[in-house]
Amino acid sequence: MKTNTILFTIVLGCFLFAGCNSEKKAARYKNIYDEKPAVVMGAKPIDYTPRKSPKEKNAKRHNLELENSNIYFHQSLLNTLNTKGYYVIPYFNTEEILKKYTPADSTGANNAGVLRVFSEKYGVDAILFATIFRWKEEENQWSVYIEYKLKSTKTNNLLFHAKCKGVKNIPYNTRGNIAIASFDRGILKHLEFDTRTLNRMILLAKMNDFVLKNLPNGQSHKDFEKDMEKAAIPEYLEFSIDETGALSVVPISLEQFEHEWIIEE
Amino acid sequence: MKYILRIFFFCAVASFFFASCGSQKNVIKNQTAAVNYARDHRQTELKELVKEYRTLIRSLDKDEKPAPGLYAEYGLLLFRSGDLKNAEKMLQTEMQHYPESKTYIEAFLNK
Repeated sequence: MKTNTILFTIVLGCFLFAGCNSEKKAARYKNIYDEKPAVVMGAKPIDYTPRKSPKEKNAKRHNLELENSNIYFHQSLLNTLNTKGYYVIPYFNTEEILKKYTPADSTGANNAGVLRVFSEKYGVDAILFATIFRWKEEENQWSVYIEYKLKSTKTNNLLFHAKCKGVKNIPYNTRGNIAIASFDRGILKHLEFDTRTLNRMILLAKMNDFVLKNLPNGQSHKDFEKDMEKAAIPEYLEFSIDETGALSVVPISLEQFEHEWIIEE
Repeated sequence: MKYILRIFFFCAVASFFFASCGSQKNVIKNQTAAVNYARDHRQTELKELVKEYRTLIRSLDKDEKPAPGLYAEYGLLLFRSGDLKNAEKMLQTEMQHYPESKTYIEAFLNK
């Protein structure tokens, strides 16, 4: 009992200590609190992961896997933003808008003035851009490198930015094929895809959930503007799901992120 | 320090996931059809999605607020399946529930 009390005190102390050192949302997301975007649209994510050429082994399967994961990634981004109290233009309605206008640079890197049309024609206050730089597959562990950017359509200000490395432990069955972990089955009951695609989808959805749920609450959230004193997530982070389903997050440097996705093969 | 941060963020992640439980009410369940239709735009999946949305909307209680975008997306899918009259009705309903959707829905209706 005494040991438990000491352990609890240490953990609580660490928690408070770490909390004191974290940047508050009020500082990190100042532009969002100032602009108060209400209507948000999610641009179609960009994926720089190389596709296999038709002659390569399993090319069709691999390319379809990435395509399905990207669509699910996009839909999951919108669903997560919705739960934060923003009015999010639904997926298929976004598709209609993007037939007519597309942000000049879909990564959101350089589009000064171009985003204004979305505000004027569609009442969109901010656009979320997501870029998948790369998927890396090692035997028991898959990684994905993603950048999230929320930009104002009115001021072109960057409202939110995060670069995240996501890592997932990949389970195998007794036959040596990729499987689905038991703790992931609940999330997947409405998705009928192959196990490789599902493992990608799980990682993407959990990353979206963690990263975007840290955004300030939107105007229709019951706690709108009541979260300013809460801790913001680091701008560069590594998000991991281990073999037991436990999640962990550690800050990483921009150099580490860039080094891994650009240089390491 | 890295270990401390790991503990802190583990707690934060856990609280995020607990907080998000049950927040997905009022949204379609057939994610497979949504992904497949978004990829190929096949009529079979469109029909499936329309049916799914119809069932979901009918299941709402009279004074239950629909999820944001629910009527807008249903309206758009009805439009794509050729049911223009009901499509317009659904898009109007979205505007009633969510006035912030007015600009983009009117842009679509005026097209």
